[in-house]
Amino acid sequence: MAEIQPLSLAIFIAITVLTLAISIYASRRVRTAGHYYVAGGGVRWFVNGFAIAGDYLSAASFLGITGLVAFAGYDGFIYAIGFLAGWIVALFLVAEPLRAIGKYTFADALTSKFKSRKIRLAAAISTLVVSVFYLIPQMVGAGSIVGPLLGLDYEVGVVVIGLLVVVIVATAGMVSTTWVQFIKGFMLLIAVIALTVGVLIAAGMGPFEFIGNIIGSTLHLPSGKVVSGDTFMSPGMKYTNPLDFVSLALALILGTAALPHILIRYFTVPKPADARKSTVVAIVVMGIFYMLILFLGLGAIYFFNQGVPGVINPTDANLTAPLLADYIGGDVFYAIISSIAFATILGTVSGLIMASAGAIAHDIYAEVLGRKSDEKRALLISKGTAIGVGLIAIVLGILSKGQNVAFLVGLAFAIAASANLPALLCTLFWKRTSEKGIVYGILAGLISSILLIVISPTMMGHDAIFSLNNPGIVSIPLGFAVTMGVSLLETRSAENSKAEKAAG
Amino acid sequence: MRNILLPTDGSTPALVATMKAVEMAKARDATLIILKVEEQAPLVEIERTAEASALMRPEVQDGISYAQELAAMEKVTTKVVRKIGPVVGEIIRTAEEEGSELIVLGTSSLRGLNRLYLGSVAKAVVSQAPTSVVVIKPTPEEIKRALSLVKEVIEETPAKAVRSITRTKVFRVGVYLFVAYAIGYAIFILTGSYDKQLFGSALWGMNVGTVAGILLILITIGLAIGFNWYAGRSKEAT
Repeated sequence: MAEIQPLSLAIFIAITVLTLAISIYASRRVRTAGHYYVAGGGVRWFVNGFAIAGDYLSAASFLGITGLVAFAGYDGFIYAIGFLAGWIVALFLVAEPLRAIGKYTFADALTSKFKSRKIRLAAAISTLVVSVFYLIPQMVGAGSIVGPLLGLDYEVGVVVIGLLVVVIVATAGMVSTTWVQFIKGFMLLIAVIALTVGVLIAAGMGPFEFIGNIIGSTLHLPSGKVVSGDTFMSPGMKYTNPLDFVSLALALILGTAALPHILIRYFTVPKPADARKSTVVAIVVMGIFYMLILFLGLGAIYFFNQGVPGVINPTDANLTAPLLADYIGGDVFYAIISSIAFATILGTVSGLIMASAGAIAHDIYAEVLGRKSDEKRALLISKGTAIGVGLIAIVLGILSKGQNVAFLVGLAFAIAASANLPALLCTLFWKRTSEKGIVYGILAGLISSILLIVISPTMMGHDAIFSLNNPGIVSIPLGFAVTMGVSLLETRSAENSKAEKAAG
Repeated sequence: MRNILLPTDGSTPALVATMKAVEMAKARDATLIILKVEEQAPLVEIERTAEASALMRPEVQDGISYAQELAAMEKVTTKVVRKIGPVVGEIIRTAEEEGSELIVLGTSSLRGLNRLYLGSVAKAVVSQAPTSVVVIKPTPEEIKRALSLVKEVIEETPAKAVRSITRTKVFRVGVYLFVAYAIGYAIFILTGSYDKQLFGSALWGMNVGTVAGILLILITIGLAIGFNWYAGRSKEAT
């Protein structure tokens, strides 16, 4: 499939042109930094809800989970469940209060209580780290999908996507990103519904019968192993250590509400109640999506076992969804699904670059360094930053070839949950939180989670010092403990010195 | 019930009038009726900007929350009335409806065309009001004091805004639901990790693990829709 397919190319170009047209149209309305970062706070909740879903259903969800379900059965499905569960934290705890205090970035929300440069700097750094960790899998997804679609090499694919995103983000910022995500969220939902229906029709079974059939049969896996369907659909295919499984589940549920590119979506709607409503829209869209993704993954392994050639690529799980589409609906469907996956990546990467640009241009440059400048200059700096981050994303994407994208995103969730969530929840709900507590908490969560990833089997293979793939179960509690512990120590010492003064 | 009517639009003169009105209400032990009149004809964006700058309006300030905060500090009871219509007519009508003993309002010292347009409100109220009217013409010192009070009130808003959300019943219900959900999720995950036999046993033609996973997704969707419905309903009730 290494040659250019005219139809795929046409659909691909149509979607790209549409995206760019929206960006350029929207760019005429961007005049201030507020407009650039958060679309002037004037996005309707329904649009924002779909845009959140669009932002969230990234390459990891669509390409990654389909692949994981096909390769690891139930352990892949747990990603879908965990990704969705995280939204309950966002809905009940974070959405409304965050909208009430935030302005442009995650750091704005944290500094609403203490006007602290240190907090802002720490929050900006952690925003950057999480965004970069999240960017890598998107770029990996981009490279692996553009290759077969357009007949380009992986590296060329990454560069093409990177440059397109830079153009989108640099022209219009959050306004265009929002509309791109809205349209994409919509298309993705329809595509997944169509693909699921196609799988069930091709298999000739009802949904429950289909799952029952898989569980009841013996499966040949892409790795060459043969297992019973029951084993395949029980925990333990990928995560043999139960603790690893728990760690991942914890990172997934707590990471969502701490992802910077998701959090900035809450600043684009006018009222706190709108933040809640858009979360609900997003949950409904994503709930349907994650339910159906199970059928896509199982569909791939089902047809693979029926002896259908080419429905699974044993060396690249990320290609499962497009290959399945090719089998179900032929070239046209393949091209449509691939183009949507492509648009998915385009949109999510734009969102992430927006979050990073906000962290650098707004938080570090304007607020921490105190270079308050006029709106025009601020806008220019933001756009320059967006271009810079885009170029870094391209390089990292090329370096990370071949990793499963859902797995990589799991790591980004763990870092976000360890570094950002304790600071956010304590700022919102805990009166005794101190400035130092927030700063140390962010740094502790950030450093510990990255360190644990570096010494994990992911990076060190069999010689790993830390035996779990996902650091969440250690680093998340640590983030909370440090934030709260330092805050308590500080308030106590403040009380003591007050008491001493009173006594003296 | 004795009451003082305070029409406010958040402009600087109105902020000074708010200060005075709170003092008077406190001295007379009267309720402060805070009135905000939205002009019927919607202003075009450029008019709105021009008006805001002519009135020296501090940004994002509707006057009501300022009056409420100030009154709360002085322990003066308040009542908020919102009207839509011609400004002068609505002020007079509200004074009649509420049986106000006094109307306190600010006037600007604008010049030229702006004065012709904006300064006429106070004049018209004085001539048509059913009761005494106190027209406040702010001195520079009073303006300074009013604006610094605004800062005090506004500076704290993030924390206050969060508190006003987290103290509602809806939010508490949300927290309970979250705790219940988190417990369910934990049971699901821990059972799946440590009792694989149970998750592998058959249920409804599938196995327990798959059924539980699908149910969890459905519960998540149901919970979100249900909570949103509940939150929307109780907002209307208040």
